[in-house]
Amino acid sequence: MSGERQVAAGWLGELPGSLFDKGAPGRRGLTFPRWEGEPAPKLPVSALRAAPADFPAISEPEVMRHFTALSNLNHHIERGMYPLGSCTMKYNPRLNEQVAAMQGFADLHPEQDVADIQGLLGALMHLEKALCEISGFAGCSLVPAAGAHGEYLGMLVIRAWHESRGDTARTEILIPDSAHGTNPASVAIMGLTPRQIASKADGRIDLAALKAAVGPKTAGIMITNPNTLGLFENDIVEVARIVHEAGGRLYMDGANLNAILGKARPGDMGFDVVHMNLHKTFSTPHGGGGPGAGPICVAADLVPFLPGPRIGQAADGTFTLDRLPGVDDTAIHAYYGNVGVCLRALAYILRNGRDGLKRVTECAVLNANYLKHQLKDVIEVEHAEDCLHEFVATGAGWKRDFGVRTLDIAKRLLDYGLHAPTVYFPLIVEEAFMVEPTETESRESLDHFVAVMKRIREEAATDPDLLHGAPHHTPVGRMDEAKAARDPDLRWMGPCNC
Amino acid sequence: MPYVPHADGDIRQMLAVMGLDSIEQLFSHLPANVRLGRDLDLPLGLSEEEVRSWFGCAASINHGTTELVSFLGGGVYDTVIPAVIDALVSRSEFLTAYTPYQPEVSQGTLQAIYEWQSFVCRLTGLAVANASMYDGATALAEACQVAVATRRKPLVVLPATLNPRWARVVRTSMRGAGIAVVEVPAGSAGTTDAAALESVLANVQAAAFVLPNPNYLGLVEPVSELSAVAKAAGAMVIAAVNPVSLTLLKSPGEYGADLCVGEAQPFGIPPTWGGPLLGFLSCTDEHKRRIPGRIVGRTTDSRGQDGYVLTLQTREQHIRREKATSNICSNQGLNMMRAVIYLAMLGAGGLVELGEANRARIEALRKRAAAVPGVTLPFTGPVFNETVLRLPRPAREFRAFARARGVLAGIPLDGVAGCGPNDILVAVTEKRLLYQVDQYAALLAEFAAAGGKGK
Amino acid sequence: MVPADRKYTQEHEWILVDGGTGTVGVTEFAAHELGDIVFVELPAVGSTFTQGDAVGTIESVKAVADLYLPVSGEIVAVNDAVTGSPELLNSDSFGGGWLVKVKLSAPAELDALLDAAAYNELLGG
Repeated sequence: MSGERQVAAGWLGELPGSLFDKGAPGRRGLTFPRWEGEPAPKLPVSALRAAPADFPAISEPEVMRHFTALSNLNHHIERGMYPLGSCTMKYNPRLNEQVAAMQGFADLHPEQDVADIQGLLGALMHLEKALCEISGFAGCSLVPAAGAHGEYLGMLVIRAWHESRGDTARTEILIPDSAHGTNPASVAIMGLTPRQIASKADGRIDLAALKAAVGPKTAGIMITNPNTLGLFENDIVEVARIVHEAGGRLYMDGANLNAILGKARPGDMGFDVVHMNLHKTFSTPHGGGGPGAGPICVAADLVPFLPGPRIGQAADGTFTLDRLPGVDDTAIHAYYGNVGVCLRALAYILRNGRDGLKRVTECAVLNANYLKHQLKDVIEVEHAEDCLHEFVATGAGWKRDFGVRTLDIAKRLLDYGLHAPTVYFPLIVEEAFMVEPTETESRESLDHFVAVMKRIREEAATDPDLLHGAPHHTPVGRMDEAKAARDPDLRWMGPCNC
Repeated sequence: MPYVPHADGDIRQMLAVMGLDSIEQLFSHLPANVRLGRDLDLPLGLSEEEVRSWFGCAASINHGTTELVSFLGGGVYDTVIPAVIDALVSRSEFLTAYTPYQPEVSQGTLQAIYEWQSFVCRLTGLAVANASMYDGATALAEACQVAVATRRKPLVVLPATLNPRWARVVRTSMRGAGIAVVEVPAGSAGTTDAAALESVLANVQAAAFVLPNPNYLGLVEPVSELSAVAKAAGAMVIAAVNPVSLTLLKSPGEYGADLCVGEAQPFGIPPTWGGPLLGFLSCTDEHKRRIPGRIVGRTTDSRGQDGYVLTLQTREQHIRREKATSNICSNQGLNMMRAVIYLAMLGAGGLVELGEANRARIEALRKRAAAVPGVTLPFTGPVFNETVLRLPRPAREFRAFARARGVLAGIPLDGVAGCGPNDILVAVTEKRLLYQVDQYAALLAEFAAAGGKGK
Repeated sequence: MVPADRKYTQEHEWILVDGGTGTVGVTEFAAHELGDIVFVELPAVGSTFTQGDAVGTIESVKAVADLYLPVSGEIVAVNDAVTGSPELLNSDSFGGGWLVKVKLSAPAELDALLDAAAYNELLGG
């Protein structure tokens, strides 16, 4: 073991109890500016609720303590490695947070005049152009609030393009069986039909299966490249030719873009649309589940199908918001999407520059390959050749030899202060254990992960029940998920102390 | 390089372990015909200070609601944000954590979501709430999808008094899924007439009626009547609310709504030009297995302790794939954290006070505006914190007039729910002071008196 | 071994016919594969379906399976005990964990279903 850390010491405090059990009658937190005017006349009784909602009465110090106590129960990037495959849990620079919180950005109302937001529009146009250059495309919409939202917009754009040509028979989107769950879901909510195509054993597209699947119903194909096994689609140019010849368009799920910055661009591979997860590749924080952003970039002939308003620039340099005919009635968000997240991503791009972004990708790929190499005697890796930013191992051997499952390995890692990798995805790998270290991890940190994995393997061999019962050193143990789903308890029912 | 720990020596050592000479070898299998073969056309990286000043410069030429006095609303409001929110959500434990799929090391996020769900249920009077949606508009579109899937009727009814931005998002979503949308026109009072709704519903098979309250014009709708009419016609009722109004107004649960959505930005979230915001979605118990988004449940762990976990996950895309109720994955987690902290700070003592603070200010503005010669209130029904003013000249002119004097006067309403070019939507939140409301009235008077000569 | 008194489908449903009515459930293998079953949704009594229709869903914590009706007919009863206590499907899938009773409209469909021996073979012996 490198270092003396055997178990994750450092979990602070006890479980904090419910907020709704705290406080006492009359305690106050928030107060409001004094009103020197007259009180309002009473609203009619028919408009009013019978009684105020039952809220706890808590003071500011108690609120701080409660949420600080909650925070102490979370794993996070600054605590230790977060090797979730496909999630790109990299360091979230604090500079980004400063930028998004600046007065002049954070305090802009979405109904303000264009003249009041020139600096913002300029920054957003800068980001659009940078994302177009990074992805190799002609136009960008920053509106999608998440990757899945970008997929939805991408499907809207592809369908609108087909419809503009009077081609309404194209209702199928081809999706490899190694895809993220959002892909088929995004297609289905658009009223299109996802058609699954079997991939080869390495998750790469099977050209024969693709040729058999394309036809007059093909609206397009959604591909993650590198795919969910961390492998580049070597035949992508041929794939694009087949789909385009059949009349379809190519959508790229850019979840794994961190693997190819400055090395290869979706637009040059034959794709027509890509979404980029700013909360993955471009370092904006995950925030325990968002907000992220999933801008899409598109090929030149699809630009007219991006929803408005689009940011433009007049001859005098003034930035404009333009509503274009045709797509004026299309909207996927009340306003312009997760603007604050976009600003963070731009800060990251400017800070890194072309040299830094390339280094990000190189070190992300280096780290994944190094880790894969160092783990080769510890856990079996599927398709060990050619992995880019992540690799998929399988716990099948551990299950066979020690009777422990991937889930047990994942839970035991938590005891060592490390987060678990993505497990049981992609679906095409048995007992999948998908590791993406990202460029954030130092050599020592990777070596520590390897040492811990070796130790856990020894534990599995000698004391498998230690793993079956893991984690042991976390604030709580394994949850009774069956109980939670059978008899859902989804809100605090008790009265407050007020 | 700014955020990568490796020095060149580290890289050499790691490559040596793998028997490689250069990182480039790790990319050698990429087909030549897709390799970029040049540097990206972006500037070289900047220092932290340069980036900070670049953005500082860009921000400084914007004019936001700190500098100007804002009466803008329409779904996003200028509200009081307590300092504890920024202090807490900037903790790495909340900021940099992933979605809480490993509950043993995510209890902080999970319990906060459960507490958010509890607050939303208490405000809406419904039994179930999810973790969050992108914004109020997308939450409404998703709620319509739930209703259509539940009732198996591909049609929803929207009132003309619905926020037009939300209506556009709903229509886009419905069009994609092949669901028809029918509109009920607004009545002369600026609200939806029960009789008008009844006659629309008599001619269609509607899965749902969307009931905004307060509506886009700021007016309190006859919620109980409209809800009863919709239910009698076999349609589900989807309430679309400003959650701040639920401090005082009848809760959706009390008027029989099946689902309730809204925009929770006023709960401690800066406007940031409209995003990131915070949509929420709640429902009665019977629909809990159909709603989209993440849901947290309380259960017990292997040690017998209470704890929290993501539950009812079979609804979601990562399990049900093309049969999922929605494609949502990442949502607005950290903004939900802001809102739950806000509601904890608001507490029982602040709840009614917040509602009354909004009421006092909007009524004061209405009274002062109506006293200005040439300015009228086209709709006199009860409001919560927004109102329509009818001006003697185009609303756009007044907006420019007020802006030149440091005031964001409101949103012109031309074409919305029967409003004309002289109508403006004005919001007054708990943040506005009496002198600002008086200043607004003075601007109205000056504008009206100028008779087209003011500038 | 699986009970010999009933017929099976490739999708792991079983049907036990008594007179003109068949009792339908899922096999122990299916229940085990799904894991802890947490929710069962069944069709309304009185509704009619054709063979192979998806008439309900069975959910575990992290998986969902459709219930396909092995024969055509009208649903004459559903097992409220199992919707109330889905864990019955894990503990007694061939008995108390039955799901629906169906009045057969085309009894000849039974002939094409698997018998116990063939189903065992499907499970790999």
